[in-house]
Amino acid sequence: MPGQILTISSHVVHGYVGNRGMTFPLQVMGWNVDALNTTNYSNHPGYGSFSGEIEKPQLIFDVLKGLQDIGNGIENYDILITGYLPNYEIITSVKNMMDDLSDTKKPVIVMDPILGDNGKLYLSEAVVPVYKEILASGKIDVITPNQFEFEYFTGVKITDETTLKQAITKFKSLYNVKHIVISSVNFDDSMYCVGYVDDLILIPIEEIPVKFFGCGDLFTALMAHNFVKYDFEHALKDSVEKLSKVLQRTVEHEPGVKIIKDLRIIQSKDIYLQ
Amino acid sequence: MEKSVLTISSHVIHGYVGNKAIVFPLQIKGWEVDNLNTVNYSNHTGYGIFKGSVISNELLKKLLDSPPSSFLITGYLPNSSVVDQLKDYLLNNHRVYLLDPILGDEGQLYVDPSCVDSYRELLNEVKVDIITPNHFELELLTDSKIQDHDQLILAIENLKRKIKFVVITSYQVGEFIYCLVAAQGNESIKGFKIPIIDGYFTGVGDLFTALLIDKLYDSYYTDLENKDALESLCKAVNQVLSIMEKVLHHTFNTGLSKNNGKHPNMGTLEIGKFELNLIEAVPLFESTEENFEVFDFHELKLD
Repeated sequence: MPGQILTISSHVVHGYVGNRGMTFPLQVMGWNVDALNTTNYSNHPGYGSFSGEIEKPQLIFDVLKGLQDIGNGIENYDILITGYLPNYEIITSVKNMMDDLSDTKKPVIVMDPILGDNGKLYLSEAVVPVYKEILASGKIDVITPNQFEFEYFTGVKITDETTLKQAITKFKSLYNVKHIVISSVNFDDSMYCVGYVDDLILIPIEEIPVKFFGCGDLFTALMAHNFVKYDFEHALKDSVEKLSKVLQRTVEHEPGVKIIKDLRIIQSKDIYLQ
Repeated sequence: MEKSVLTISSHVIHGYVGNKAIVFPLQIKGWEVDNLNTVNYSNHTGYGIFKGSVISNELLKKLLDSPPSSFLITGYLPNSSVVDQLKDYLLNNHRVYLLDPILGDEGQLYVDPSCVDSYRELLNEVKVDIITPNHFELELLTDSKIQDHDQLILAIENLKRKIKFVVITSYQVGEFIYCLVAAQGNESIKGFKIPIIDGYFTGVGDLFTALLIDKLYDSYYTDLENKDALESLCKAVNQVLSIMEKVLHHTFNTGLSKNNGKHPNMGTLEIGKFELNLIEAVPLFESTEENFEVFDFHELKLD
């Protein structure tokens, strides 16, 4: 019997970001994936233009209640993934739902605390205190921020291994999340994926000079699957390796292109199963 | 032609109907699938309770503005303004179009009654390439009561004048469901005889549509030269029915074991135990088995 995942993130009609980037890989890896969509957009903003809407907070509240009403509340899932939560109201709905979980019956919660990237916030600052409360609540098992987000939550700028360790120490003192994964960190002219449970794990990543969209979503999906399957270090290494293979395949499909709008999510079916 | 498709149908968070039953099988077969969701529900209505909302006209207009694909599927369109808007869109954006005219089944409407007229108008004004009504929907679209052999032929001929591939997905007589197919350029109507699985299933029509596009792509659209349309359609439908039979048996058996050996009651939470086993069915989607006998229409004795 397949396991059950609830993933709360964005929906686009075309392309592979948010739930559209996570659902197929997870389904291929054998999961029943229930996708709760926080947006309804034509495509992601990287296309230059897009249209659509953020879902009404009331709708998110309603469908969460709807799932509960049919005996399928979030405590029944094996894994809960949260990704793009676009505003204060929606993040608060998700927080309230997590607060209601008992410690004895809860899913593994993997949170990609999407706030921004490359020095820029995507969301209003009003969401930050809610995220901080969630991170301090002890409900989150794995967090997968990017470097900007991790720096934002800790207030520590990461410029080398020492400052990275300081940032992690700060994070540990402020919040209560056992497994930290920073999807990519740049220092000393190198790129690493960072993991921390009791010790620091640094995995070098080969840098590809191309701008991709949806990498973080795919990485979070791979990490969620691997986390319940392998020990932490193995899970991390496998996720990095698979993501890198998908990126490689994507680049081979569009050689020389510097901005690639969508990963080859569908054509990488074999990679997820390796 | 590229294997890319836009599918416009319902979204449920939990379970497999509408786009949740269409998107994954096509992706597994290597299709680039864009999905436009006409509703956003927690689960399908067969549970007796659900929560969620229907797409607004304004949002639909915005979302139709996404990059084009070679094929188009429309499934659950909840009201006539959605159907009308799509009609206007299709007048200027032709693709190979599979219309699953979801209206209802066994005499009961699933959608707003105003959809019937809107679909009739759409059929008059827009080029549809493939259509997959059930018996009840065929009656509504052709505005005729169909109770015998002759009435059935008339209704199928009526659709075939405008539509290249006509598939009547279910026409029940006694212990059997008949699936009937016809294609332009060929006088005859062919049929398949399917034993009824005595269970209640949801998402069956949606999965059927997804698989039909995939199999018809292989048997017809990959290489249009020297293709006999009816022969290609028979092959595709036979493959689809062969896969469906296995998926439904698997679904039914796991459902029974979850429900203490009992059949589910419609409109209760028991229905949830009989959601299509879509993830487990992955190896089946590749199958090209043709396990059903193809009959000429007159051999089926449908009176």
